[in-house]
Amino acid sequence: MQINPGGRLDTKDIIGRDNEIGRYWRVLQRQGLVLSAERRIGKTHILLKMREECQSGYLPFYQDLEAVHSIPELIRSIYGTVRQSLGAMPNVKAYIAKWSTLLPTKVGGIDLPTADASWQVLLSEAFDDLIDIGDDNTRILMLWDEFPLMLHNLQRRVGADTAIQLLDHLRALRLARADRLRFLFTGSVGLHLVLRSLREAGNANDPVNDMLSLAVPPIAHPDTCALAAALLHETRAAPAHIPGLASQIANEVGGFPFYVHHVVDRLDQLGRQPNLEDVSAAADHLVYAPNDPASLNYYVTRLSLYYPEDQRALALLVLDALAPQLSPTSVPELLNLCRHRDPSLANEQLRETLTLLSEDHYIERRKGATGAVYDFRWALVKKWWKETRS
Amino acid sequence: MKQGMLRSSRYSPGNMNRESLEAVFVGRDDVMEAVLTRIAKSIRGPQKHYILLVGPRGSGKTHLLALAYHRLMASVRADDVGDRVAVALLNEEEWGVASYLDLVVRILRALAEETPELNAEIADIYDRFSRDPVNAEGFAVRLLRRHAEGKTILLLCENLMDLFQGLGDEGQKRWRAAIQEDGNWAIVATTPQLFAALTLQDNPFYGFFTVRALEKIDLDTAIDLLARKAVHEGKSDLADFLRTPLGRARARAVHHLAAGNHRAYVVLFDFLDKESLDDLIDPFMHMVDDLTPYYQDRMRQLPPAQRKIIEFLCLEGTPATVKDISTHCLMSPQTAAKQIGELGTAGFVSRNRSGRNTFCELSEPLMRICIEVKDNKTRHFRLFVEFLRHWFTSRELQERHAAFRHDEPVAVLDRVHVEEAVRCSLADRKEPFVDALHVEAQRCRDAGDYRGLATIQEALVRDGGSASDYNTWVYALVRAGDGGSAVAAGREAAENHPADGRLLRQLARGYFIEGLFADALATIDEAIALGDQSANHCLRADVLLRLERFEEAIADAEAVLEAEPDHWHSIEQIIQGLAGRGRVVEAEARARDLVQLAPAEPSALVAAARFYGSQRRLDRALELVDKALSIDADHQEARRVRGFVLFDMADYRGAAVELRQSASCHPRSVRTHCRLADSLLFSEAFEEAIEVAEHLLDIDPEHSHSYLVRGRALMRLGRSEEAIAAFDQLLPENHCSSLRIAAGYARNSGDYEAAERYLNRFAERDPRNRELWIERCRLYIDRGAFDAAAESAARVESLPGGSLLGRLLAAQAVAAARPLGEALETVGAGVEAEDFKSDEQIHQGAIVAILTTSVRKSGPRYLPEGLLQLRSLLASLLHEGVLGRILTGLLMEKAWRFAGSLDEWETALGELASSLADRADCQIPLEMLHAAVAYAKTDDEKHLLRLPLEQRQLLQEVLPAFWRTD
Repeated sequence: MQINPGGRLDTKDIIGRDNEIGRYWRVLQRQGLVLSAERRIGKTHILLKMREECQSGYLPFYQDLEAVHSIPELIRSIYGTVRQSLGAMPNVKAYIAKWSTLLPTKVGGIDLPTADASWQVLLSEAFDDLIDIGDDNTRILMLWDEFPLMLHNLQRRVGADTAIQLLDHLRALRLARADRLRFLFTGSVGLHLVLRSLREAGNANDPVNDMLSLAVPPIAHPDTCALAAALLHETRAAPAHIPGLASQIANEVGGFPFYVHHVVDRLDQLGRQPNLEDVSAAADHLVYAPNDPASLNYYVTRLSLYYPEDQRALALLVLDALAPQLSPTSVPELLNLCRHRDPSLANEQLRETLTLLSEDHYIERRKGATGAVYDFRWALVKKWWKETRS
Repeated sequence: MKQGMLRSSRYSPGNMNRESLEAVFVGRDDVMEAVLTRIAKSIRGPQKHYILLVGPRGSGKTHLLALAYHRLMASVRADDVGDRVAVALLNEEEWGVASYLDLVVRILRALAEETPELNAEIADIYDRFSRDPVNAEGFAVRLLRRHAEGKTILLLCENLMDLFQGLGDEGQKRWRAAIQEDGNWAIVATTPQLFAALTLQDNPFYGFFTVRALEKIDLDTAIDLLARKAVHEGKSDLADFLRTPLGRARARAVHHLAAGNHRAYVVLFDFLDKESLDDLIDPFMHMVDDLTPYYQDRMRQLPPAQRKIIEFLCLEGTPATVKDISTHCLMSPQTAAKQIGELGTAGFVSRNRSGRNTFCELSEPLMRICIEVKDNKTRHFRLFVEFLRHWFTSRELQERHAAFRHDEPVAVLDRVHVEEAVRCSLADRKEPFVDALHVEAQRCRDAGDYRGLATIQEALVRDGGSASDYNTWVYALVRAGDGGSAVAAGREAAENHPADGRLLRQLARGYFIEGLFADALATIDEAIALGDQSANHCLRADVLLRLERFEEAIADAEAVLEAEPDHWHSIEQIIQGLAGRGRVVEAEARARDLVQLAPAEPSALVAAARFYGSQRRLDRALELVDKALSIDADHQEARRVRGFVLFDMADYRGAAVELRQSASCHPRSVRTHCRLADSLLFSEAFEEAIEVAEHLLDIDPEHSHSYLVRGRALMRLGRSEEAIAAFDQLLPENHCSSLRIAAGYARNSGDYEAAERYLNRFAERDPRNRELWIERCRLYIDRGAFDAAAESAARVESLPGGSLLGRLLAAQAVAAARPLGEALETVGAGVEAEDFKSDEQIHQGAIVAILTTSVRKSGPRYLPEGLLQLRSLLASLLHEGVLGRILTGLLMEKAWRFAGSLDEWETALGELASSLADRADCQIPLEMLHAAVAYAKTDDEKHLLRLPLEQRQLLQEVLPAFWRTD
């Protein structure tokens, strides 16, 4: 196990995701899956682990779609991925020869409009080809990383209509080839936000309602401790101190593996045995350092980016009220706290805002002694919010 | 990159060769190790690391990356993992990257450096691009994938910020997608600052890199850099100077301007060997010319509001608060704070919080250059004025200023700057260079570097220093053990401050350590007349003890005790005084009293231990120091005394352990290291003895005993040429005993000329010394100059107490050429017991030498007759077992190695066994001699195994080969 904040891990070193991955495989048996969570929580590593340790009966293809800005690019990307993964297989070589003639965009420097115009056919053919490559008992599993960002790119580059058409087309494909095709979408930008934007542009459908949407949760406390302990072994930490330090790290940053790597990396740079105060200082650095190393300000700025103005104001009101609370807060308590700032706030407005913030992973709903309670999803974000805004 | 072409470069270290990069690589070892370790892991396994080195311009990023590349390539070759990695080192300034395709092409070109066949396919990319750009990108990406199939692509690139700017949002996304999908990329990149594409969550590379900040280097690292650069450029004198306290103080001036920036030190390096103002001004102005475009270009990159703030800070010269900045720059505090924050992130401004205020200043003081050259309001260059104030003391500047007036015409530029520097000094009363000297003085004091302290204090004194500066100067020289210099400095101090008792006491200390006790006493009496009685009487007592005026010493010590009853050193002085007077019983009584009076006071116990040690009551001394150490295990003086006691007890290994620890706490203690070196030598830890001796020479280059230890240890290691070179260092010295020992070693190694050199020098110093003629006699015998040996023996005989020894030496000279019996006739009719016992060890050794010489030249055939004659000569001493001891001595000299066959030896020893059968003391040595000879000649261990265990153990020293195979 190596300290590697931001880098690519050996999939064998991924700790604390076995339960989730098991569940995802079970879901995929019956339907597609949409996973969402903020950047760096480890979505990509989950996909890579699923590809590396793929269950029998699936032929997985991993694609990062963040850079895709048009549907021809998407089709080209699918073929590129297959070529890279299976190019050496004899039955794929014939397909590759065929693909190389597809999608010319220019001839003699002149753009050809055909590819854009006939993309539905080409996309269907692409999946037909993929399904043909596998045998009858194999499902093609498309692991599409950053899918919402691709939709966002399409919306901006070619318009909402094309994005909506793509979603509809993909839904039709899923339904038509349910026995042979599965999709797993992930995204750091919530798919619901992109869909909402598309809805505002005129799409009345719910194009992923055949898929199950899940948030990637933090890794469990014992797994966080285990990860921190494994990383601490790479530092000068005395073996006897490691369990205590690991537990402290888990308490300070929660089950966010990226931050665990970060904190241990800082401890490693001390050049001496770290102690509990060092752990707190390293975690505090994420919150208090003037250059905002964890980019926690993003939680504020993305509200401006993705929320309408009135919704944004409500979201800030709720989060500002929640941040100073020492323990999870019930809806009536929260309503009361918010009304101290905005007496006109209606109960329903609060409930809508809580739902939206939950979908966006700002907060999470938990079971309290007398009903549902809410709190920030990440202790670190809550601490930052409290220090900078409350 | 034209790698490896240059030995030195201010702005393009990437072009330097590896040797040069290594030579001046400082302060980044941790980062380098982190980079190399992570990359090695990336090459060998599925984990991939993306490392980003962040540091302002000139902080050594390019240097580090270029050196990392060299080391990586060397390690790839050494580990034979070339088939597992494709290394792409991008040029330092990849200005032309404007798209993801561009980046891929640049990487392919970099890879083509190692794989030229790629070039044809790279050309194909351009061809395809003209027909279909999208296809060209796909082709380029596939080409890269194919080339790097099964390998890790290791990308080393600089200025990531520029690269990302060129890539744009879409290019960044494409690159990240490729990295995620391919899974075989590892990256080491540099950037002068973090930027939004990396730090904001909605960007693709958010949190992607493991960031390592390249911090500013501190003064010590800066000095290391400058010294290494000096060595690299063949200026070893400058390198040595920089490591002196005065050099460090000078380096502080450079540090003040460079402020931790690698490149600035390299730029300012040229000033370091400039002493006069005339030498400084031209290079400084050249530097300004060199750097102005660089800093102006950096200024141009800033938005106007930030430029304004930088301009203000340049002109201000001292840290300013946000409020000051906002007022003077006519902007709101909020705007100023925001702009300052961005300037901080960009590395232009450093912010330090003090209470509620944040003080801001330029991160790179040299940045002022770009403002000052445009500031035409002043005739002087403020940065140079500041530099002058850090380089010279205000007194030096004033002297220079005075010289201008009396020595017209002078360069206007010089005059203007010196005038301004003097004016500023008078105005603010600040003395940056003097302050630097004081800081260095404290550092020397903390490190126990008294020679360094003396250098600094002398500089302070020469700059019109106070009585206190003089006092510390003399004190430092005394602590450094340099009595001569201490006396000279003390006299000067006393002349300048005649009414200062402290200075007189320091002068007296100088006299004291120089051995000029009468002068010391006279001076301390003058000091006593001026006051501060206790300290003066204490020193007076020390002086009187050395003058053996014990009663007076006791009186002075008693006087101190009256004022300070727990002044244990005074009690120790009294004990010494009493012992000196022969009143040992009283001395011991005071020692007992001391132990009773202060049983829990380690210093008192150690003082008593020193007394018992001086009386050779070593067990009691050891008991007391052990008690002191049981109270305070860290009591360094107790540890040191324990080492000395163990040394006197001949427990050299134990002594070395104690003294090693004491030396680590007192790294510049001459006395401790000296005894440690001896302990190591005698415990046969020769290599370490050499190390300690060399360290001693670092502390005190004139410590001649170190050369002796070094020479002896080298000789024992068989490195005789180096040993002789070390012994030769003794020639300018006056230490006759060292010269004699060196001569003995040289003689035994067969280098008679060296031995002659040492003895000639000995003769110059002390021609009537008995040891000189003894050694000279031995040398002549070994050289076969028997007449000369006889003459030397006659000189020994003529010296007081040398009668018997002279005759024995004469006999040894004869034994080299004539039968043993004939040689022994030279001794005379008989040896008087009284004569023999007057110097028993030497006389006994001389007789063994006679026998050894005979055996060496003639074999054992004369031994039976000779021993009979010797028995007769020593008739009066036989009952004391002297003959047995002589035979044992012969055994220890490994006599059987000399001439003669085994048969001859067996015959001779058989005859001896008969003739000495009545001498019980001779039986064991004879048996052992017989066994040793038989074993040496036959190599058959059974001869040894017949001996009892204790005898075999005795033979261990002379028959190591047997024990090696046992």
